[in-house]
Amino acid sequence: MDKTLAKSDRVFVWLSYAILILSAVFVALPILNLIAVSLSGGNPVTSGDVALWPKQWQWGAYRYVSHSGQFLRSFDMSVVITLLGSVLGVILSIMAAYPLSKPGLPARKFLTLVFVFTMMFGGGIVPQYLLMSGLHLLNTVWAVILPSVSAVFNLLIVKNYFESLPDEIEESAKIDGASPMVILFRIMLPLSAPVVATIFLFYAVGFWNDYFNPRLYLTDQSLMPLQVYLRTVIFEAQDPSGNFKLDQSNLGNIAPQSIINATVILSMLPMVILYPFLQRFFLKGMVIGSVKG
Amino acid sequence: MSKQKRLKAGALAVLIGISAALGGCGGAKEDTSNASPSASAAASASPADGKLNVSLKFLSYQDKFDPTTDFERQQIQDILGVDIIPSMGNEDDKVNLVLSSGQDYDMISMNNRNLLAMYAKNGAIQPLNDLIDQYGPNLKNAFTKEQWDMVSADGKIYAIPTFNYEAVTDGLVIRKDWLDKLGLAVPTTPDELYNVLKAFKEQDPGGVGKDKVIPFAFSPGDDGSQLFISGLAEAFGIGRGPTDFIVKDGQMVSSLDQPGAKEYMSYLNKLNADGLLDPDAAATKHDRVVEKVGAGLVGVAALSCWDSAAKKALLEKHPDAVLEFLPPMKDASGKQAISGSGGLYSFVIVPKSSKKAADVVKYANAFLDEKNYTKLILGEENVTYKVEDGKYYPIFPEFNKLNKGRWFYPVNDSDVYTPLFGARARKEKEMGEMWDDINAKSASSMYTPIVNLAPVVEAEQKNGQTLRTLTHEKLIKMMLDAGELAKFDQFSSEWKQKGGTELTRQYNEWYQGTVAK
Amino acid sequence: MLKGRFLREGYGQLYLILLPSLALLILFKYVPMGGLIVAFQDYNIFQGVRGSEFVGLEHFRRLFSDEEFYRVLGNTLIINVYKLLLWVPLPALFAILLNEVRQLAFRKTLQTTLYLPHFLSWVIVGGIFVNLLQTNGGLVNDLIARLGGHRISFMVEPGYFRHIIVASAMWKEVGWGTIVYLAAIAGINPQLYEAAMTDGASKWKQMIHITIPGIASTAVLMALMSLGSVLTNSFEQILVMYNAAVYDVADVLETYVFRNGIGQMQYSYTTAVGIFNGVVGFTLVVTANTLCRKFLGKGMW
Repeated sequence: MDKTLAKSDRVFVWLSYAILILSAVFVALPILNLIAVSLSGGNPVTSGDVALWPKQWQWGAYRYVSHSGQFLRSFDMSVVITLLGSVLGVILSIMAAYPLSKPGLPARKFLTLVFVFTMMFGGGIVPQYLLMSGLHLLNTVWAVILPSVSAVFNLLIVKNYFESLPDEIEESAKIDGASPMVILFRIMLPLSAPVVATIFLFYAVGFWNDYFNPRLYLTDQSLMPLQVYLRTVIFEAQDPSGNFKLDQSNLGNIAPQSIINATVILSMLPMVILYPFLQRFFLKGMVIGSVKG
Repeated sequence: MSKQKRLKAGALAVLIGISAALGGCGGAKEDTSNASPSASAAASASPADGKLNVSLKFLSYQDKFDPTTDFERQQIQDILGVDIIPSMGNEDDKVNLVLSSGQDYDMISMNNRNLLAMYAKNGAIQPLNDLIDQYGPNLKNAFTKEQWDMVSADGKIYAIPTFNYEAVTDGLVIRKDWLDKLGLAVPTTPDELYNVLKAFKEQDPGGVGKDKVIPFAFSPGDDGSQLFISGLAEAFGIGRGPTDFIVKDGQMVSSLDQPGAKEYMSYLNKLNADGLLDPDAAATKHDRVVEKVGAGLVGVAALSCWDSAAKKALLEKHPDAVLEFLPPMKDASGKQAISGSGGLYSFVIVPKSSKKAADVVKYANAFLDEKNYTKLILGEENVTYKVEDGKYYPIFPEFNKLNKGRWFYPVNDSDVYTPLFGARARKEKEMGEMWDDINAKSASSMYTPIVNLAPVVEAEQKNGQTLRTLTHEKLIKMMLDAGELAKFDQFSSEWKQKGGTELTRQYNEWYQGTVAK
Repeated sequence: MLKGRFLREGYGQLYLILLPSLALLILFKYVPMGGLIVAFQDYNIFQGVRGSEFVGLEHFRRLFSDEEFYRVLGNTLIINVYKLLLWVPLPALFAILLNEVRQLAFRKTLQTTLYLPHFLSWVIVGGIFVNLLQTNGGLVNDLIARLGGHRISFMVEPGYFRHIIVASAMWKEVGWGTIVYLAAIAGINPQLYEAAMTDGASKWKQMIHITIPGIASTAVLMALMSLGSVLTNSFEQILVMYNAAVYDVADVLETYVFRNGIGQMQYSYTTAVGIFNGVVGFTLVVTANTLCRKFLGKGMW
């Protein structure tokens, strides 16, 4: 197939590759530096000597961050919250997006606006906190999950996707007498692999990275998710009053910046790994077959 | 069934499984040792075995250790009989919410004195005078009336204070080897310092490169920096900076009214104009200063004794380098002054909803008791710490158990704490050296800035932040630009008009009323 | 007639399906909105809403009469609109290009690399760029110096600041932004491409006539949503990357409010600012949506 590409097409492809590779390099370099610093000894880091490759290679920073029992506990907590939240979120978003994507639905515009409105207005932390307190959800995982589970942004993406699918798909099913529930789950959903994977990823990243809600609603150390743990590591390391040095173990020579970078890398690793797994849902052509006829 | 449908079904199963599991252990994981009620209030302050047998719910700052298994928690239980049930996360907005919604805590640690006054006014916290009179003899002895005033409102005490250790931790460091190479004496006045800096620039004794060398490095880029450089500014007859308050002729005055304030800014402006500062100074934060010192680019820097990383990095690259603290610069009359770390560090309040206020006071009282104190702070002699030449040193790895102990302290007194604190300061060889170096050179000139001893007056609450923001912006501009510098008097009036005059007046009310007696 | 259609289309069931999400939305988003009333009060958190004094539009008056307000508002709009203009085409472009990469492993590597910065917080990314742009010791200036040029103090010169903010924001988010577009492209009927190819259309033509229309509605969606946050975007980023030397161009509404300690305990004032932001954002979105529907035929609703 490639051999029959026209000349202009080849230029197009080469140009694309060039832009992509250059951009990737531009993006990767600072991150390589980040990783290098996390693996370098204290002195080169402190004097700003580390470029793209570690100097005085050491694993101490990663060990420091991950070796406490607290790290594992908070990691597990984050996994639970993220999994629960994302699955719930995906289901709810799909269930809201489908009805809103049907042009004939009465009050459709109004209902969509009801959702969109909340993206721009919010009561603030005081009423939210009081609500959680009133519902007796303070210091539980639900306080961290429920507020984020009807993310309007994600809903709109799914809605947009449903609207872009041809009407014929549903028509044939309706003629056969299928109910909306059935159409949604048996027909629309299998065609929506890319968008479901997308919002699952968005929810997952949202929950995984959330620091704000846990900080506000949780005080029990056993419930603290990873981001809170990591943030305290960072605060500790950056503290100019020297409390870091005064409070932590005799570390050997590891610079605070190495520790900060190690926390950053550890924090993003699970999410970075997640996407390639979901990627196969993005391939063109998963949708073939159902549209014909 | 499509692959992705199977995935969803699987996820749903997981979800159900997990919520079932969570349902079993939902909610706070409380330590079950909710021990017996406190010793009867009818009894005197110390029960027979000296132990209190009480459990207190304590909310303090967020940290990364697990406080339920901490060594210090166990110590407090063993030595004092107090079971601390820990919770973390005491940011201001969270404490506001905790208090206003009546959450259940016995002690909350905070460091924002603005809020203390507000909580007292709204009846959100309990006054402690009577309890301290009854159960807190050690507390009464430890603190002066001025110190109690710092945690009081309307004449009533509302919190138990923790005062910081008293030592000098921040000052100016210099590359002594550069001085020696140029045959220059250690500078003792701002003018001498200027000449040294100029020589560093022009002669580049470190071989760094004349365009790269940074004769003087400090961090105006730090958030809200007021361009304080203690150990230098005082030599101009002002406080730590142009807007700091000082005591003069029995009154508290703003440094802005001293001629020295404008001279100080002119000095900084000249340093910048002559290329003796980092060109990125305005954006430079403290850790960047540490980096540049460590890289060997800097001649003189405003540094802290905790920045031993700079010394280590520097020595690795330049083994012959000598980094020393400068004694504080002398003013026109030869006097030296440098600010110390003393002052109120944090304090513990008792929410209205707690029924154990008496126990909290008893706990703090017992904490300061001579026979317990050293043990609680440093552990066992010759196991976790040792004493050499009257100085305290940590013993590793045992001392690591006490790393986070500070989280649990309900109170602290700088007189007894400062010497013990040395054990922490000497955890690392270079850090201990810098600590000893700066204190040897500066301890005799140490003073505590008067604002660190003052209560939070209303003007500070209302306008403090605005004034600091204004100062930060204007002073940096003056440092960079002669045109701005010429408008110094305008800035001074603006500062006064935006709340500075009122602030000075209220501070003086306090100063004349209490300290000046 | 409506009833008949109602039953035929199964609208009842549709509403039922919508209900759980709507219920949660109402509970966790609309119920707390009652708290917005504090913008019209002198709110005291201990007296609660009932115990606090009503002050009407006092806080809004204070906001609009602040001499700095218009300056920071201007900065906010300039920076965020500048970002918006790049945010619409760039992720779409990269998504299209990525789509052309055949080798799966290579494509995955490229994609993963490109979206990595999304996971870094602004504290880190800000630090990266400040480092990069240092006058002495920053890579950019070192390069300039080596090419014989004069070093530029990027971070303290007001003229460069906005460009730096926008460039670093693109660096951080464009990669991640491609995800939505890739999903949209994956949803385009492959038969359209097959038909085009048999007709002899070049890749370029295919992109213009098939791909771009296919992702147009996504682009509109993304643009509209950015418009909604045009007054609140950039807060964290600017907080990390600005300094006193560039306040004049750097200060946006939220950093200004933050810096003046206004957030501390002044719930009423910050809520009022929040309402202002929301009203502007919402108005813009509704207006833009209407215009899009009129001229482009598609909108958010």
